[in-house]
Amino acid sequence: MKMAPETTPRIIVCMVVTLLASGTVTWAQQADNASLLYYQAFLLYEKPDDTMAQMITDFRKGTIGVNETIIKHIENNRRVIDYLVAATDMPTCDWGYDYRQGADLVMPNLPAVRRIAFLLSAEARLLAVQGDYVTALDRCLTLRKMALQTCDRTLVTYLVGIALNGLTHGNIQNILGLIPNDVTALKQFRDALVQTQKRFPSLAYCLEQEADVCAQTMRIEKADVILKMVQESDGSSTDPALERVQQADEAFFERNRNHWFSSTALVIDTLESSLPYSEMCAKLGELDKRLCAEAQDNPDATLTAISLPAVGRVYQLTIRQQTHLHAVETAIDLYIAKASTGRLPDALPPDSPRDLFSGEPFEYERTDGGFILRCRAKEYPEKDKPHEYEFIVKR
Amino acid sequence: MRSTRDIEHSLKHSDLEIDIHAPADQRVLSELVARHRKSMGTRRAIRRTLPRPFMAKVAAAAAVVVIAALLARHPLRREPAPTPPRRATVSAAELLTVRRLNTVYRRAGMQGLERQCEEAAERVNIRPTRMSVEDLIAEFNGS
Repeated sequence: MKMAPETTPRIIVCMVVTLLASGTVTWAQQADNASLLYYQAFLLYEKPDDTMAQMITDFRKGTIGVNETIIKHIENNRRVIDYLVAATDMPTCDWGYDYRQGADLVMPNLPAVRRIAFLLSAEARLLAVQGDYVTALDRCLTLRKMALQTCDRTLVTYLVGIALNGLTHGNIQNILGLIPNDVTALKQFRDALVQTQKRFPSLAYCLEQEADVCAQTMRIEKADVILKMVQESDGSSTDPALERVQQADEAFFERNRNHWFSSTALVIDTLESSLPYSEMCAKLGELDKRLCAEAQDNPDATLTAISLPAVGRVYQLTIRQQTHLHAVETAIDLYIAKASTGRLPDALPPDSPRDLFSGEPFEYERTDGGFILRCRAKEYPEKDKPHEYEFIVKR
Repeated sequence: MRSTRDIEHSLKHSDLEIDIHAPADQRVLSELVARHRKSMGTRRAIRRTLPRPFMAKVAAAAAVVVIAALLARHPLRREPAPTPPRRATVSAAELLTVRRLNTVYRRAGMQGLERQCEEAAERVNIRPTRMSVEDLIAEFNGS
């Protein structure tokens, strides 16, 4: 078919417009992606030497006061902080992971996220020490949002997110003791904190995502990766898993994928049940043992045994982090009461957040310098005594 | 007659590698030493009766035997010594794979995970301490 002579320029114009439009869309998408700002921040970050790193850690924890070296380090990284604050205000964060790589996927951003989180945490304390407690609290929220954006589709990112949350709660605990009586600022901060927690994904959701990612590796074309996992998990050449994977065909992988999905579904169902903490720990421990042991006699369970994460341990960490948050929320309520009435209340409000180890409100003890919130049950099974959180009240 | 060049060529391409067998070498040397000690008693008497040129020849022959023995034990060409097995090194990228991170968490918990992240960060920290366009251009120009 022959086109009319005037049609060709129109087609070219249409193509150019389409290309320009697609380019605009791509740029807009990139501009909305927080990870681009994070990656720039990673490149700009001035790493402290060992002595300075220790000094900053001590300062963050409140064991030493501020000095010129700390201030200089933070100021040298001012642009990094600006990038981080801007990144956490963005609605989307796509780190660009290629999940088709399954368990062989590399996550190069995680170490950098940890390091710049320490920087942000130090700056939050510095701001509080210098009297700018509103921005200090805002930085704590920035850290919480960072945790949220770091948490992606693998359990490892969830763990780093949890660790960042733990760091933030410690920060808030320290900063609250430096804040004067400001009911409005405290109330606003408490609401914002609860909102960020609501957006943080559950362990069950992360495990579901992790199951999909790991299943990408359970294919015959990824047998080399599976072999590496077998060697890393045990290192024994006599392990039946090694021989099974070496001799595996497509049917072996399909049966193993089915077993993997049914096993993770079982773990997710358990996590979503409303078992109390100690019973949940026992149940997850029993499940973990059973699923791993099954692989000895059942070849279809081979890949489940080597891929199943330490769910019991992750659950404990999750509960520890959430309980710490509940303690911080309870403490903010007490600080608000102190700011309103001029004194700490005699008892906790009836609707105060619970200690998730016991399922009951925290034990509340007033001290000379402030107060202590204590869990009523200890963490299973490693800890000798229940967790307690000490808060200082500014006089 | 072969030219010097021919001789050089054949030397270069000849297989001069000496077959080394340490236990056999040791046995030969031990026998030599034993015979030497045994003959020490009679040697002095013979020396008195033998003429000087004969003694010089025996000394030269003994020197040749000793040099040969030394060469056999310490040849000019030796098999390369086996290198000690290297500790398997893992790249920073490998340390940060999902499977490695999961394994380390399973084994050592959060602390293990943090240590692994820190180790990887130490290795991939390629950012220069100073970053200016001027420095970058200077580096590209090789100055």
